[in-house]
Amino acid sequence: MRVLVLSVLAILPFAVPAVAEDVFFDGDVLTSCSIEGHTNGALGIDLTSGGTILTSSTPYGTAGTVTIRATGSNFINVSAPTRTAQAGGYNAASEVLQVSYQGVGTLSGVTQAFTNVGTSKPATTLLAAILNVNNRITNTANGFPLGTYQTKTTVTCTPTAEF
Amino acid sequence: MHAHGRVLRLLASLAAALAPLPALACTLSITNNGALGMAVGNNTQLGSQLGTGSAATLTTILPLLSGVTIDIGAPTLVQQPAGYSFGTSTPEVAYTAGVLNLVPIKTQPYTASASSFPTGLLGIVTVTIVMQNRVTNTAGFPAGHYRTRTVVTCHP
Repeated sequence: MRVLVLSVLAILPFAVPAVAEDVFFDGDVLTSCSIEGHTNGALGIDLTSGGTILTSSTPYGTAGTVTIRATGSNFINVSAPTRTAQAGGYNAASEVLQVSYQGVGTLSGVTQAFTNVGTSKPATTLLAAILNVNNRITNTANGFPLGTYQTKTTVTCTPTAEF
Repeated sequence: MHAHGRVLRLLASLAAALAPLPALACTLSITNNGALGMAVGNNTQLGSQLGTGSAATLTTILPLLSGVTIDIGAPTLVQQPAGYSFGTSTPEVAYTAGVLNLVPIKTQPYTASASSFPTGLLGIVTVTIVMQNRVTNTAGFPAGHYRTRTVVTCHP
């Protein structure tokens, strides 16, 4: 007896399991600090001083500014000012030069009232921030003859305090 | 009796032939992970195309009669130093996928979202994926170590 066998081939689905991998990216942000620019200030006579104080503080003058970007732990160092120009006949015997500064935004915690010495303040800004710097000269004994006066203050940003 | 035995042997052979074939999985292999760098003077972005950064490269070998899909997950920041501001942070991924660097399959610009692409009926070929990661944070990046992760999946 012949038996007719019909065979039906079934196409079975092939199992393809999911496969996953993690791809990583690594990087380090290092401590850094940079002075990205500055603007000079302007000195004017403090009219309430009887002509014995030359200052950049408003409303008599204009503060200078320094743009600082600091990542990680850094210090902003502000030197005592020096006089770099004066009118003819100026008597500097009793003068006192001083600097003050105030940070803005992420630097707002950096502040110093008028002082005649260099100072250092810890700072982290992440983004660029402004430090407003003022200078003043007090000459109670001799005042200021007519002419041009100039002072200089140096601002640096370093991992360790300089003052 | 003999016809019956032949039928049984035939059915047994058919059963063996029709048993499920071993699963043919796609394979993913990471050639190299990436690195994050930063451009000088701009600490609002950390990325593999900035500073000392570099791309990640991985390959996937597709099985026969593939039709698999490759998913690229949304990237996440999985390691960061103290003081990091997540509220202003956006991780992104970009990639190109192709066969033998000759046949492009997919180009994805930077995106913060997951994406995917089909491989059609390509079979037994190697697809190479070159991937970039970047993180933008308007509040900046505190000093320290950072790591991002992107999950790549190959599935039917």
